[in-house]
Amino acid sequence: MLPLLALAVASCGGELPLLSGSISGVQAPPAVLYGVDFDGYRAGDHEVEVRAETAEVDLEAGLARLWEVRIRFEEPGRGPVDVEAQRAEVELNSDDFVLSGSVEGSVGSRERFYTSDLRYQREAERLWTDRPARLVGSRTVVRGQGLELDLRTRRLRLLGSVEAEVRSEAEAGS
Amino acid sequence: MSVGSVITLAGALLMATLPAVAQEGGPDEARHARRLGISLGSDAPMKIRSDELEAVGEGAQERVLFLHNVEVLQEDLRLTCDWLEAVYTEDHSGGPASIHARGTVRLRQADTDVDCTDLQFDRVAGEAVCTAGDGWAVLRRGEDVVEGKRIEFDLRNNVVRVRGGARVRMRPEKQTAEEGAALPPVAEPSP
Repeated sequence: MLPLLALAVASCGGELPLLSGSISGVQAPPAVLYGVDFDGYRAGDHEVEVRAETAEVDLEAGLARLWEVRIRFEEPGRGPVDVEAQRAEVELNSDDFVLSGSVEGSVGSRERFYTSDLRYQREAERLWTDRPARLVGSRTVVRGQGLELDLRTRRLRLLGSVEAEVRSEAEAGS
Repeated sequence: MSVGSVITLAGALLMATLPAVAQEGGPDEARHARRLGISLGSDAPMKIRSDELEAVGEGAQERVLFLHNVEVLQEDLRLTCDWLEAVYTEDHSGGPASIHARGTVRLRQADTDVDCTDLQFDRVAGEAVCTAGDGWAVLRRGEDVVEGKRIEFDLRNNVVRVRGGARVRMRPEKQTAEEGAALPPVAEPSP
């Protein structure tokens, strides 16, 4: 069983039959879980912790749909990468996922990034989007037409017509 | 990542370096500064455009790179280059420890230009160095030109050193009633 699904099952104990998908030829409906807190699973060198207010696991489609999602990538000796979004759709076969709706995140604590959609590829250990993205600091807003974060190297790239605006100290303080 | 600090420091660098060239030119420092100097409000809003940005934080050091078609705009100042890097050490409070611009590097404000292919600013040492590979680093305003293989700016002492066959051409300014007698041409530095 795939790590994410295994954790989903482990988290929900008695609901295991619902997740089996089909019982005696009768298709079970997707399992809906509330207050889901997956302890974590391993992706490459990273521990991935997934939390969601609501989750729907659809074995027929091979998808887990999550709402109000918070995901943390952790690696020993490095600060976490945190990402939040309104929705996530996880491919159960690969553990790849797509975040959508007010996606925001941080690498370390200094600046945050914002975009509308963000994809995670477990095999490549990267987060990326080809949608407009913003990187926001205390005095700085940097906009790009795409964003890519390599979780192995922690290299964050803004792509396509990057524009950085820096406010004056007076503007930043107002 | 402290992109804002990169930009602020880049502005401060430009403000500090260019008048330094002028001040070495002769006894009338204020006048020479007007001839070659660039004024810049380093806290003014600024924009940087580029094709890509990369930010990498590893341990105590962070790097921010603007890549391809880099353009920095602040008030009437414009810096263009192909590659701009800022390196931060553990203490981020004062901005990056160093800034490095490469490619076709050009600073322009009003009628003053600086051209080189490599501009390195070491904030800790308070030094900036412009080079141009096998060519010449050039500071130009109107018909006044300073060229060298290597132009070094000592920002703490307001001194500029031009190395590798320095060439200086300055034409006397036109005299005005307020300024009195015209300045003599600036002599070429001894080797």
